[in-house]
Amino acid sequence: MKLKQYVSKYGVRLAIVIVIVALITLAVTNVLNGRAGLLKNADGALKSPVQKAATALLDWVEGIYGYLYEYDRLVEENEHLRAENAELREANRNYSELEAENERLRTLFGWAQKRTDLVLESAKIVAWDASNYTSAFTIGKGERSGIALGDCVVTEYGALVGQVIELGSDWATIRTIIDVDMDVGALVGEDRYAGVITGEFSLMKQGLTRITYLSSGAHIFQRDEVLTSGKGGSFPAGLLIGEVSTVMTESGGQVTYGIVTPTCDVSRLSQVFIIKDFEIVE
Amino acid sequence: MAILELINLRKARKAIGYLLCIVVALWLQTMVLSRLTLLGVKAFFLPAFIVAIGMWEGGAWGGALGLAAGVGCTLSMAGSPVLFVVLLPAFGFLSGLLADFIINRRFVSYMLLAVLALLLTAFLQALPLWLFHGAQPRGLFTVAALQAAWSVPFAVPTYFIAKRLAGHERSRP
Repeated sequence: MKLKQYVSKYGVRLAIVIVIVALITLAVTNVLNGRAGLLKNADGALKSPVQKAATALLDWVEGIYGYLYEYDRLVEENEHLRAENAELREANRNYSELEAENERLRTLFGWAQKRTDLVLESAKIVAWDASNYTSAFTIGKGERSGIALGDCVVTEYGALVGQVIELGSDWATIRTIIDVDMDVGALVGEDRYAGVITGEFSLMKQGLTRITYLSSGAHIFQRDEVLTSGKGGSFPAGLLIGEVSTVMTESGGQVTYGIVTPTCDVSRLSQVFIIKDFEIVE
Repeated sequence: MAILELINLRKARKAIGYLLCIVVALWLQTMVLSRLTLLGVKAFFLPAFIVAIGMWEGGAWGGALGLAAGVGCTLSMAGSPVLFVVLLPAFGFLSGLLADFIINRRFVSYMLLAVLALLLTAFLQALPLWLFHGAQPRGLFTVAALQAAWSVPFAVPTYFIAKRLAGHERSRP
């Protein structure tokens, strides 16, 4: 078969199929608008238990790695103490994990008592997105737990983590506060100037974000607190986003924006809390 | 039985083998490699696997299995709904075409094509952020280059897996 025949036989047919599949994918994405379709839901449902198992396995491997590290340090001690120490460490590790979760829930309980308007659902992170150009993760709960698209996600301290952008029956994808597609209405400083938290790629890679579109005459300073404004009704008002770490002026010298260090360290998250319902304060 | 006679069992077995490998690769990609970062960058080796399939099985198989992998990527990853559906079958087809007419199927040729595919994928993933989000190109394309570089070690075994699944040396037409 000659090159020209090869291209016309396979290439043209393949191009037609690719265009059709691409158009279908685009149409389905637009129609579903974040809600998982049959195929994606099946994919998520199939993956969810595997993801949970893989997460548990990786945690276990990390635990073993930590154990080996400690074990090396104790090689100089006698055999009896080493074995005893290892046993105690294993018990301690299990205890620490439980204690950490308990602490998170206790902290949440204290915070939730202050915010009685919030209906919360806890969930563990089961997978992080494989792309380098987004900051998103998957949790092991979804529509069946009462989670809805657009729900706000926080830490046990009530610090904003992100928003539900895709939803399946037993899983949900959360876009984090530092993602480039994130837009959140915010208030900054003691005078509560209005602005918008918008992600930026290079900041996202450093775990930071920025506050832009500040109201005219706004003055922001380092260490100014940034809170959600609650405008638009997607997020409850008064959730802590972070603090201004650097005040910047864009090249024209007119517009000022602030680099914000989020209160939640996105890279260290393991458990999050989804706000399923809240009172909208206008 | 009559239906079974219509099916080429050898090809069906091979297709199932490849599809299973693609599923495993996708799970590895989303569950393991998303946690293994190099300088904060994650690897993405699936395009290299599709290049390997295309080289060993030809453009038609490369294109079809690339399409399946593209749909899988769209289902598994946030954002870029169309990119992988277009890019991966194109890689599969082009690598098959090149291997059938222009280059040999040796490991070095594969690595050359695989690195090109990894670089192109990373840069096309980064492009919308540059065009539509005003991201600084320097930082963006550094991440893209790092992504391609970090994916290379994972691309190496895919050549041998595809070769094993193909089960025979394809001759030049």
